[in-house]
Amino acid sequence: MSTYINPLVKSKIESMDIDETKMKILEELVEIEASYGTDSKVKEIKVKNCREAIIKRMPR
Amino acid sequence: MKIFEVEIMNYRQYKGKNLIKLSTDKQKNITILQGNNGEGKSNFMNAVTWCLYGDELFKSKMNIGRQTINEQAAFELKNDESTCVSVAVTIGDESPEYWFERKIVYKLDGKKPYGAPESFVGKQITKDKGWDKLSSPEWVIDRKFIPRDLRGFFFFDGEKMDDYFEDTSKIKANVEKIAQIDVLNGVVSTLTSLKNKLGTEMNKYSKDTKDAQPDVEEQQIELYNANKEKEQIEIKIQEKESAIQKIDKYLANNSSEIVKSLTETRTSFESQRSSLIRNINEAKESQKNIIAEAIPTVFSFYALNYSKQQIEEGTNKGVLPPNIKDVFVRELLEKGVCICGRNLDDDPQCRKNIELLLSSIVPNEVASDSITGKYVINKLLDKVNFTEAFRDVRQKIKDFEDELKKVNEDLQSVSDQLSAFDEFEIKEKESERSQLRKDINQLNVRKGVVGNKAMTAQNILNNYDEVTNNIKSSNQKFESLEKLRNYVMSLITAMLEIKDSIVDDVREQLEEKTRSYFFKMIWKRQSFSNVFIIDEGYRYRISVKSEYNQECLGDMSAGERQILALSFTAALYSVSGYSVPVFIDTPLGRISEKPRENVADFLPDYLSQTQLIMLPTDTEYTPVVRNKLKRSVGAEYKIKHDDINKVSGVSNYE
Repeated sequence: MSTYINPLVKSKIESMDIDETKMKILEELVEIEASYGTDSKVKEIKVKNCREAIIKRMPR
Repeated sequence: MKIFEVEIMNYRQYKGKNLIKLSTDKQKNITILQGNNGEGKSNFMNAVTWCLYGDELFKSKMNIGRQTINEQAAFELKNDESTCVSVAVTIGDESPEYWFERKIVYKLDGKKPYGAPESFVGKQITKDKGWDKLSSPEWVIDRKFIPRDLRGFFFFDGEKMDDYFEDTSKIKANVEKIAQIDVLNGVVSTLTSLKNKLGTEMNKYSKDTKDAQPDVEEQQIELYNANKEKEQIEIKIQEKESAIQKIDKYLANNSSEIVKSLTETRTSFESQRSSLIRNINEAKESQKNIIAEAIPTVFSFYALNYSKQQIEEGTNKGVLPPNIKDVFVRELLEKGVCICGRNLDDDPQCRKNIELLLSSIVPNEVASDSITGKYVINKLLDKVNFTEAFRDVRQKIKDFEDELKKVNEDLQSVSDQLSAFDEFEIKEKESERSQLRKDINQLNVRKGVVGNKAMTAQNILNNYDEVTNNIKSSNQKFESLEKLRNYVMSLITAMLEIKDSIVDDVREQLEEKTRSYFFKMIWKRQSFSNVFIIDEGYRYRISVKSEYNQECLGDMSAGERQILALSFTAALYSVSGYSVPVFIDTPLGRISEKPRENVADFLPDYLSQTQLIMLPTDTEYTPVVRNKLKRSVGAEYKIKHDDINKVSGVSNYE
């Protein structure tokens, strides 16, 4: 079940002058952030998921 | 996301079931629920927020402590009868996707309605299965519909809209939430935490590398110097030993019988001394071995003892049975013949007994481990009894040391006697010999120090390959972490740029649209010259300039302020990109007749992307206003109130 992401955020990420990999990573990070919310208890999980998402996509 | 249906049952004024289908048509995005004051307009909004969030946003102070159920429905109940108050809301994008219901079952207890605990359920509507129950309906509402803390921004009391401008720091915070700028801030914060974490990990590898890096050249020089010094010391010792031998020869050949005898005695003592020193060293080595062997057992004594007890207890209780291999028992069952030859198919009880035996068998490896463990633990615990052997060897060392002390004293006595001999040359030779012995002792001490240095340097050089490999691996880890951190930093920069850019865009578009809508809807256009939304960091300041370019927000009438609030709201939904319904109670309440028609002309266009639920009174929803809104209205209802029974119901407008 995907979380609602404001189209404004999506279109802004897509309009930035950055490579496609970075764009996809940023979209995924926004998705992670929006789905977990701001509760400090999930901070560690967010950092872990964020790290995995970056490692999975970043150029070798 | 839109609301497709709201089903209200016995909620406050609403008696019985009221099904309200809201317009989900994109072209006709407005739903009208017209009702007079006190007939249930605000409670319609309350019903929706109660269902979705469990609270009523527009609860009148008069209703505090009052039951949610329609009182007539509750008091009509007879003994043992029950009824309920419930509100169900169906939401979705193109078609109904989720259904939520909040409900309380009531009974009449004496003369008072008594409510059971509130229930809240959510279902996902699926094409194939009909529906699936949601494990966390609150999560779906929060993430896919209107987040709980933003709900106040989508349910308005039109008459209080101008309160909007009293605390504009809240507006900015909410605008940022709606535009999900807070999510972007969250991403930056998470990325910053990740960057710091990577930095800490890098420090670890960087430190390891620095500490582990051996200086090969330095160690080689150290080894060379130590070995060279050792060689020189050995030569010196040899020279001094030769000199001593010469003196001993001289003394042994002396004409005096006493000197001869003393020299022979000394040779014998020195031989004894060498033998004692050897014995002491051997005994000390054996003492070291005893300790080294016992230490692990001493440290793990309690753990070993505990394990031993557990195994013993397990064996006594039958938990750790004899090591029957389950594979054998399985084989018996498969073959259908017991070890005694009985056919298991003919004897179900026997089969049952074997099956029970199989279920009671502790997994094979545990059983065998417990047997091995018992033997090994006992062997290990025996090592704790090392004190006797230790005491023996200590006594031996003491005895040898006492003997050595005596021999040293005897040697000193020989030397003293020779030094005191009444002949100058003898005295001088003995004194020279004493000095030579002292020098040799000192040289031996130095030889030990230098030998240690050489050994340390040699060990470092021997381990060089292993250390170098460790460093190489550390360096690789360091480099990969550094690469990841640099990438994270570039993501932070990109995200901050995106965030700043959205913040600017939102403010600029908000300002432009508010200005444009305001000037179209306001009736005294010539009295105003401009509208600004100024970002003051923590808040937005709304500024309206008069025809003379003077600040005039404070001097505007309630109706003018409501137009400004409607313009701002319409601009906000247009800019934010947030597509969820907006409810406005008495949207035109403070606006007089003529300007109201003007608003009705333009507002539908400004809120065309939003599902809009307007709850006007009959004085607001005049035939002219209705006619102007008609092109955008997809559903139109009237809230009808029965003054005698004091209940309301929703029916089609005409």
